[in-house]
Amino acid sequence: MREKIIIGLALFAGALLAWNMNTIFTALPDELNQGAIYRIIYFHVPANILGMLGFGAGMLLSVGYLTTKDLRYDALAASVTEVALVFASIGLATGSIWARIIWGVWWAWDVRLTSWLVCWLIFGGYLMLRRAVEEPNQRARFAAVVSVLGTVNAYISYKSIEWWNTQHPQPVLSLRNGGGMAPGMEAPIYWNLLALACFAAILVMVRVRQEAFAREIDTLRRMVHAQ
Amino acid sequence: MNRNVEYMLLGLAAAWLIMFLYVVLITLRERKLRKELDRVRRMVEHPNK
Amino acid sequence: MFLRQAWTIAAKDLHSELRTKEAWNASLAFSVVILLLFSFAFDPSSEQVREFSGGLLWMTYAFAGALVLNRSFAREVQNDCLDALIASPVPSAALFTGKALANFAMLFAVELVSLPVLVLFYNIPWSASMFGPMLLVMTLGTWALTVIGTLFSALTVNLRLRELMLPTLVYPMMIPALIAAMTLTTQLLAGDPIGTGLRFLTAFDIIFTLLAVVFVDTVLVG
Repeated sequence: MREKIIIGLALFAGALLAWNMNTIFTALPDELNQGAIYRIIYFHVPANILGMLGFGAGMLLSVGYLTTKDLRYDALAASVTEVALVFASIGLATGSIWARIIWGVWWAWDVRLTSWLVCWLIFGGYLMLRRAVEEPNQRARFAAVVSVLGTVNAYISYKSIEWWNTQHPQPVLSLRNGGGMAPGMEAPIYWNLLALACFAAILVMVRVRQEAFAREIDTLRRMVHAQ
Repeated sequence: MNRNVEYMLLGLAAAWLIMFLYVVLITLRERKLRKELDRVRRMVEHPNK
Repeated sequence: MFLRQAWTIAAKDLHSELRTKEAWNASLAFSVVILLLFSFAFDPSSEQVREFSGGLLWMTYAFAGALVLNRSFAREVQNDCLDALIASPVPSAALFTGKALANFAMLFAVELVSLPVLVLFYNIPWSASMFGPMLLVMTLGTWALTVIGTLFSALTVNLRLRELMLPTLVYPMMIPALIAAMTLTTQLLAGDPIGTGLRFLTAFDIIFTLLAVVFVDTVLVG
């Protein structure tokens, strides 16, 4: 059953992505000022959205663990955060490449970029911390604390383009500010978001099951040592 | 314009590369976990002490 | 009651520190050395140095502070003092507040001594009117460093890789506050008006203090 869901999602996402890429590359014109490079937005924005949502979801799941002490919340939190970190990496990388053309530099120390990089570092530290703690309950507790504190930074990053004058472009999605993009150009962002979200879901499912394996191994090891 | 297209392809390649690397990582971890799980399961069934 | 408990813990830490002066000496020496080395690396009188005076100062504070914060809970591990503290009727929040206050005092003292070193070596035109705002920025910034550092000192105290994990976790978390403090300090030392950093730093302090006090029990006890 689970296999079927994964394969189904993968096929759906793959097809959606292929269709969307077709739209992006054939139907849409080049942007006036940016040329071809603007199409990176169709990966950059969805990846960062998924990253931020992932960190936020990780925080909620961490709080879920802290209130219920059920390790399955922790497993889900870790999986979601790890996948979110991957998408944040994609966001940082694609943003950097875009910036090389548009701003002339690979990196700029403006608030949005800096705070997002900080988030990446914090949640990278989250994963490192998880590996450093042996006992599952202690690991879950510590990870939960880092997750909550780190999400504060994610929120700062999200709001940064509103609170400060940044080099990073202002919100262009109609969800946030009424729309600054040409009509045909905005929809593919959402389609890509959907496709990438499906991939993210698959990765999270695989990862969660790996956490379950790890828990089982741990339990069995204790049984063996007890004998 | 040409440089633009080049970098756009670079950007897309970077995105997919990162994704690919992560999938490889996950697959390797899955294999390692399954092997360990089988090993420990066997140890439980046939305690040799 | 809570305040009395926190104060007792703070006093204990400060007394212990005053007796040995380990962290104080290490921290102060480190801070002065960094400032000195940087004055050799760059020409201190040039105009460009003014631009990163704030950055340099807070980098120094952050690194020197790490020496103090690292020891905060680590010093309790010997002789099971930490277990005794946790087992005692003192709530974890009071324990945390006491330690944070002590750390803040120690850090602030080091900073107060390091600031004239910076002003002297880097020929920063200092006017009396800068003193008040500077103290305010130092207080807010140092509190942010202290709160985060003390919480993570508690978290990492029993980890195998404490020396590695503490900086890895703490520095990224501190960066927003550090950047705000750096910007404010540079503006102050250059005689420019202060921007919105003060509001941000205050909000940051409040939020992270609340979070730390809420979570310290989870971290120490479970």
